[in-house]
Amino acid sequence: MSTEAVERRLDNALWWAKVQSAGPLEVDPDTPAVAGLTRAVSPDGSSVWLVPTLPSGAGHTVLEELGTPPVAVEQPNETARVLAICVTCCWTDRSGPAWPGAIGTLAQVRSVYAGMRGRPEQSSDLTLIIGSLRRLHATHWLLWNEKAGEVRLGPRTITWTPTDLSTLRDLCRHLPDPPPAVLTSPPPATQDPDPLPGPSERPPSPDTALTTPPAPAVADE
Amino acid sequence: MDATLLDAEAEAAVLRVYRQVFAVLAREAGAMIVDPDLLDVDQAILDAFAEAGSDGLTVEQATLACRAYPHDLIVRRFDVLRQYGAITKLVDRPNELRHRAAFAPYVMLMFLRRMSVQGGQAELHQLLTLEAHSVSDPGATEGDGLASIERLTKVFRLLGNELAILVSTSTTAQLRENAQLAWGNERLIEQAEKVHRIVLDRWPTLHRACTSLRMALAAYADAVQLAASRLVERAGTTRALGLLPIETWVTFTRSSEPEVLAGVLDGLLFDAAAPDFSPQTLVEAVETGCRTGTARMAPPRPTGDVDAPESAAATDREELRAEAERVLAGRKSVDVVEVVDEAGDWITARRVLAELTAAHLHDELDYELVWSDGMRIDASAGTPWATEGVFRRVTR
Repeated sequence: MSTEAVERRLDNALWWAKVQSAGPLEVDPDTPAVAGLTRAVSPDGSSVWLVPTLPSGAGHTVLEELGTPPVAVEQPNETARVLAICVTCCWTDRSGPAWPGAIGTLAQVRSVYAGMRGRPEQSSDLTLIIGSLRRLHATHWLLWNEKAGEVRLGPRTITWTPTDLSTLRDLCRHLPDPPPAVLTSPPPATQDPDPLPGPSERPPSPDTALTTPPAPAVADE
Repeated sequence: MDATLLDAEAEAAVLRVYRQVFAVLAREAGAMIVDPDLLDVDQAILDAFAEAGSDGLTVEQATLACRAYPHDLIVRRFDVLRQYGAITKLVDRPNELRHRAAFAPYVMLMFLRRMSVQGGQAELHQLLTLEAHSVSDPGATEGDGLASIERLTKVFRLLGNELAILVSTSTTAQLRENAQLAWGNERLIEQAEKVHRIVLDRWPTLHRACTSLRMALAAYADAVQLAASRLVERAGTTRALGLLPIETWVTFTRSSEPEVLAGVLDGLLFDAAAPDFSPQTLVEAVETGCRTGTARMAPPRPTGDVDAPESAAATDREELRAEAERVLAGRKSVDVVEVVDEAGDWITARRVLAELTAAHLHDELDYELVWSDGMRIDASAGTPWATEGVFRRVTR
């Protein structure tokens, strides 16, 4: 009994250490629940993300209060803008939580980006967008499948509170609406049941979007 | 005043203890201590007396025992303590060199030390326990209960007033320094309420005094609430948590060993270092992004509307042209009388005439309305009187 408790504590400590060093972890859905970690089930149910749950008021605001610089990110504003655009594209059901959201495409992101800038798309935009998407993917804010040119909200978005979501709802209203998504890979079963078929639709594969083989071209280039 | 000798003696005894107690706080006779180091000196002297046993000490022995401190400092403090009666001659005779120390100043010192550490809260807790003890004593009288309740009322009024004044007048820094007034207030209030309950159960006639105690407690609780909310509002949740200034935390994190830091984090879950994108950041970024756009945002248009909607002036023009063409009916020119008669009554005719006039005056339409001198009078027509003229197409 007590050994079991000790084992559970050790197990917790191990998971915590993993999460504290690497951020959200993608694990097998059979992994037992770990105290303090929110389970974000991926849309197809094939895996589960473990996201640390912080008590309210213990987030990044603490750093501000302590006068400590936050974790630096390259081009913070551009990155934040691209995240906002991805929220607009991927958070299709605005009445529910943002996670897991739908799959958005690079074409959508570029279109909304140009709309937000209020000018025709420029060649430098793509560089900025791709760079931001990569940064956001590395920190688990987004899941960016570079080969397929598809993006999903990352597991970190599960920590957004209802207040955050209402702020984001306003933001999405402020941003231009994305064009319909033209997916190059088959959507998982739990996604929008009738997405517009892309010109280069592939035969259904059991893989998730992340493991889709390279698409012939980025949709709507 | 009919003070008896006994009363006077009792008062003198109180005063004597009072003076002894405050000896440790006196710098010179008649002045308060300002340097906390002097308290250490006093303590050393009193410690030396405690060690010395029943023989007492001479000034020289005392300075020897306290050789960690400067000689003249010890002598000066010794004098002060003697003036206040904290140290007295072993036997009161002119050439007595040996002295003994009273215990009251040492007790006072202990209190001072503890209060300097804990702000008097622990003493207050103990006082409350004592009060609860004494009022629940079977031998206690109603007078004891009343006195107890009144003492507590005053203590809590003083506490609450001090805190309330600090909240309303002082800066946050001052408030934080005095935050110990707000520490442990739940327990304090609980204990005071326990005393209050005991007294009210035993002597219901004291309900008036008990009411004022309740009011004092409520006022103290309110003051604590106010102080806490001001601290939280001004200093942020983290700093209000420990009521410590920010530098203290930073110093701790910078100067601690890895083991100490790890010990603090033991049992705490935190996220891996990652940039934060709160919704507010997103909103701000998007707003600035929209502003820095080089081109103006296109005005919102109804979706699916391919051709641009015509302006009101253009619509008017087309309407006028259609009317003019209807009147002309393919001819080059038409008689106004004919138009008037065609229209029937005057009410319709004048509207048609107004439109023809407008077409004539419109600078984008190539029509003109030319009036001539003649007038047609026909009583049988819908409009009996009609001025002659032509409405015609012009070429420019």
